[in-house]
Amino acid sequence: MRFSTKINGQAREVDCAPNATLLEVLRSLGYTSVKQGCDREGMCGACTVLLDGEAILSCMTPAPRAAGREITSVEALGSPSAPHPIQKAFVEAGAVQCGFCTPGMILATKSLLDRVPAPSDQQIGDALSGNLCRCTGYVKIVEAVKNAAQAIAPGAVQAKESAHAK
Amino acid sequence: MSNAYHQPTRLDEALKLVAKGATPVAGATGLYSLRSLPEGELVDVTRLGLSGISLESGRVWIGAATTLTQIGDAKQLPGCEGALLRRAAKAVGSRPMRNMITLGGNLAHSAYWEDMPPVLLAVEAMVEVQRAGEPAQLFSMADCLKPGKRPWDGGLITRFAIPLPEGIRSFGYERFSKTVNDYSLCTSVCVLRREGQAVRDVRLVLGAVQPRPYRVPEAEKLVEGKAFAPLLLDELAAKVREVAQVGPNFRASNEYRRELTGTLSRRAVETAFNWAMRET
Repeated sequence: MRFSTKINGQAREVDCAPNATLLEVLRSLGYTSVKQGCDREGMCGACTVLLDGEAILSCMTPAPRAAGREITSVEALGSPSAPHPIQKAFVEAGAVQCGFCTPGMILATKSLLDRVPAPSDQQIGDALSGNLCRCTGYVKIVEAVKNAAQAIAPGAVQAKESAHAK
Repeated sequence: MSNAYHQPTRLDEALKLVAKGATPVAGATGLYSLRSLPEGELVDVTRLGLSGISLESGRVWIGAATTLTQIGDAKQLPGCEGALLRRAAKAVGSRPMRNMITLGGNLAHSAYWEDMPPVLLAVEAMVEVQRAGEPAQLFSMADCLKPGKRPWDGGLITRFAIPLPEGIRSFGYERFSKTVNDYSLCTSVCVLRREGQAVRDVRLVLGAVQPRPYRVPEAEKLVEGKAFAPLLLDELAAKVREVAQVGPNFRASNEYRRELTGTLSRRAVETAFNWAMRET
């Protein structure tokens, strides 16, 4: 079946089987940042993309559901020469090791910071609870999220910290 | 293999497709996590305007396509029932999963681990079902959970009605899984009303231990109408362990999960009671 969608800001015509997953379609189109980690169980978060700004698991999403909507993969966020502040924060905090989980982590973080500019530890934990990392552990990743929040909206973070200080 | 994926924007159109045998798809997490999708056509029910929460005639109405994220974030959900729904919705999987899973799909999928049916049973929700060419019908959760043909077979769940009874009411909710993202090994939900120093209208529901959630009347009777005492909690936990029906599960042994039924029920009832006693 054919449908129109927008991927990373570009209008695309997609031709796929009616039961294809969004993960299969995105990878076939070359968006290889979108990974398959677990076996379509929703357990690893490596396939996370944003659909109209909301984080979803593309391995369990029917591809045709993207018709008329906008998909964002990590390819849209930045480049090696001009990384997005979240990508930069992950690199600087040492939150990347093998990198397989990183695109999902970064998109889950983007979805969080778009909703909550100054997230608490609990909110960060909740936002990343669906993203598994088997290399680094999570300390550096949480640190990266906090640093990214500060880089994107420094005022919001400072206001939260001063409120805690009281 | 599925040979068509329909995305209707009108309910009557979707109902006709379902009446002809198309399989409804909502969040798709249940259906697409299966290794093989059903034969025939699929009909996406997420563009029918079935999403949203409203308060009408002393009931909360929740659209079947409302996601668990929407429910978890719904500050407008009132009272004990609203707080319980928010609590349970937020306990499910990860945020991306909750962005996908819908309340209607969670009931219709009917897997033993689904998190919202035990809560819907505890709050005595009614389920609205529509079929092509027929008026909407309301079914109790007890009817929906009976074995055999389901009330929505051949039609669609369109929304849920949550009653908001009067009185001092509270809940306890306990869900146990190996990781926050994993399926529940056992869930226990308690809803009760405080009358003076006594406990009334106790509903204790076990989930994730059988194909469908169920109430535990033997344990409810132990608490009903009585003032609370620590001894009662031990009795209650023992009674739940004695009568709980626990099905096989590869994640943990039946003995372990039977133990969980008592422990979690004890905690759920204690939490509900403690909250009720704080109210004046």
